[in-house]
Amino acid sequence: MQTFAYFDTGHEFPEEIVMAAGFTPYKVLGDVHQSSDPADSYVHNYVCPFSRSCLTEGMTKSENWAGIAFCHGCDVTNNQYDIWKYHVNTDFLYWINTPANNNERSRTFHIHELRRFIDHLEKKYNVTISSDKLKSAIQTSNAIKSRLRELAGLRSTKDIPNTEYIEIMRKAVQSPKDELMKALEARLKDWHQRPQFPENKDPMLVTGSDITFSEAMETFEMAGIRVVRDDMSLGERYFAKSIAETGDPVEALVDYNCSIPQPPTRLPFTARLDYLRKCLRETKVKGVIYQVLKFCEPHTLDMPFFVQALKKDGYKILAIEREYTPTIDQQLVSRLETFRDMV
Amino acid sequence: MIRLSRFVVQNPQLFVNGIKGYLKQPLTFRMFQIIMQYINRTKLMKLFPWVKTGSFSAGFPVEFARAFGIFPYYPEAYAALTGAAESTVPSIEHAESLGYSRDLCSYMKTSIGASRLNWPEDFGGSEPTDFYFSANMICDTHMKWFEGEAKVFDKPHFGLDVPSFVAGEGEERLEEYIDYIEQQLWDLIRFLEKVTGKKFNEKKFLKKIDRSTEMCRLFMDVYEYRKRHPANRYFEWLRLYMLPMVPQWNEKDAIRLYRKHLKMAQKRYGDKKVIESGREKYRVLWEGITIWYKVDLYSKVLAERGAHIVMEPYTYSIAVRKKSGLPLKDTLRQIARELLTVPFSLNLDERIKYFDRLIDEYDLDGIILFANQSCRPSSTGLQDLKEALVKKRGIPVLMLNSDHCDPRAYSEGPINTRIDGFIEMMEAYKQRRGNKSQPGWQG
Repeated sequence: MQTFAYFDTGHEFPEEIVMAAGFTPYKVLGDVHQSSDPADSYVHNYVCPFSRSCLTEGMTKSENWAGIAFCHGCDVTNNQYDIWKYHVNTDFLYWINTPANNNERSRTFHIHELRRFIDHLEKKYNVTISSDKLKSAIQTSNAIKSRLRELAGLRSTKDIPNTEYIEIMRKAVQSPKDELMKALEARLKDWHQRPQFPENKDPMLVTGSDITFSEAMETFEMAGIRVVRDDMSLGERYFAKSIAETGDPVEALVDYNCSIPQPPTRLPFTARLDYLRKCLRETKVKGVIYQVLKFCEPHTLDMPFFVQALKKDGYKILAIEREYTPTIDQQLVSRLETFRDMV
Repeated sequence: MIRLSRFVVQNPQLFVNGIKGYLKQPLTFRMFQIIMQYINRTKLMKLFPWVKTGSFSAGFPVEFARAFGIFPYYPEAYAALTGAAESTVPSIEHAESLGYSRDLCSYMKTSIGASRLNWPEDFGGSEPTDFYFSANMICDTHMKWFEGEAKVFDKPHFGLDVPSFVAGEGEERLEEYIDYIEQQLWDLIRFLEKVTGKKFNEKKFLKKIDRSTEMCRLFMDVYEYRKRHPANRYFEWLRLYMLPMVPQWNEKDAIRLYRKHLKMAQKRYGDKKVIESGREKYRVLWEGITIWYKVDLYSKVLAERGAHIVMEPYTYSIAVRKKSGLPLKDTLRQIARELLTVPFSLNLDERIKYFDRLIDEYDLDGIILFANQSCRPSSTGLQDLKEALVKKRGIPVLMLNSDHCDPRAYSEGPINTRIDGFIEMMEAYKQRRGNKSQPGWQG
């Protein structure tokens, strides 16, 4: 089965549509271990390093992909579409203008956008994306989300290193779904048998920029912090909700998108805060870490308000900025350790 | 006045520096008066509790709210003026002390910092308003900044979602987006009816549109004379001259001023394309926001080397209203089209075609692309634009890195050195062009 790549800075892309078209959806996540030199020829170094890494991946690996789709996300994705069009070799580069608002008007527009995407896929690849195929893809997706929810729930009770969580999340958005299901089943069996949550670790909620590589999670681990809740796209945003399996499947996808933990690029931004508060009510954590990747504007814009709001609620919160590098930053580890001591 | 007086007492040196900064600007008394009339009215409005006020992001179609009697506040314009007064650093640093990153938009930080310090509009502050309005056709920051302020002050916010018209898409796609925006503009009317408790007055709204269009048309007519030799006005003038259009803040006086300047230009140039040769050694286009705190860059550094900025898509984009006299529905669709096709946020395909045309229309010798560190959307795609223009036209293109409102990002020496190199490139280009156009020249 061919892969169909997508560049999406949130969780906006409807994987189920390309699954129904017979492709394996593959989320472009870049590679922190590779230099982003090719992309840096076209994008300034004060622009999100993750996006430059993704562009590098696009420039070097696009021949493996049947096509590529973008979703309207942050300014970076919106503006780099054109750069991808100029420098990434592909027969099919498609723009889905997912709306910034979350209301009835934007819902109608979003439905139109998804139907248009289906139409273009059908014409380009000579396939039929029927309602039945879509519903079947939604069922597969829901089965995956359900297992991911179960796995993620074990983080607060079992000894699950942060890196294992991020690795399974990367697999969730990049692997063929049948292969993924087997891996999830095996992981569930394994994680259920793990020892209890270690006493020398502290459970915390992590929010902010998407963490896309293991080493960033390893930084928390080294400071004795276990990430037991989050609202990231490579995390709970991806699996917190299921998609309705009845009714019109396209409308179900849009409704799903409106109900998931919202990314910072969506209005109102308080929806994200509401989800974090819900997590904090549901799971006992020692503190909250609001981490932003250097140059990640949407999260950096939200940070002052969120930090104040959560502090006002009585939570201990640490705001940090991190670089896009696989090197474990010992200064960051020290700050995290100090925060841990404080809480 | 109380806030200004308090500001002067608390920050005497900053006030003096600000006045010096304002005095450096090529402002005529009348232009200064029109700008200050608006700033003073802004302050005055707070004394009238029955007057409703709204904060607007740049480019948001303000005529809707004005038809409901809402007085517009423009935090971004106050920040720009504070930049021109070379007084942004303390407010930016105050915003950073509140948790706003150094990498974020310096307009926003100037405004938030100065507002939290309770500084007057003359120095970047902006008092809370009854409503907040923003759109995302230029950047996400607009949307989030105003939404955040609305939340802080617990006021209603209307966010206009403008889709990105990306490279490779055509008229059919544009029409789909126009449909979406038109529907949101109807929602905006309903929102305004709800929050003000007033009925929408179509006649009043269309009159506002007529006036905006008239103001933009006159501005563009004056702008046309920049194609002549020498250009009638340069960037250091235009960047302030455009301000009355941004918030539609004083249309009647602005229309009178623009009309007067148009007459002066007509008289000065008549039908002649060239009235004085040799005054401009190099005619340059500037792409991006102006560097507000460095008027010397334009009026001294470049000018002393014979280079003048004769065109900027940035100022051109402010004159957004193009048509009036249409029925309501068509007016809404026209506004939607204008929001989607503003030159400042064109996609790469359209941007390259647009610049290619400008090179001829303005008889350009060089282009400066401003890679603006706290405005990433406007910086994206510049390298491709540069490569396309150099390849097709052979025109020298300089990429200049700095920040539009944060002087901490400005390095005088390295920038002047690069400008020296750029001048040499333009000289070589002119000599080649003297013989014949040299496409493919890699300057």
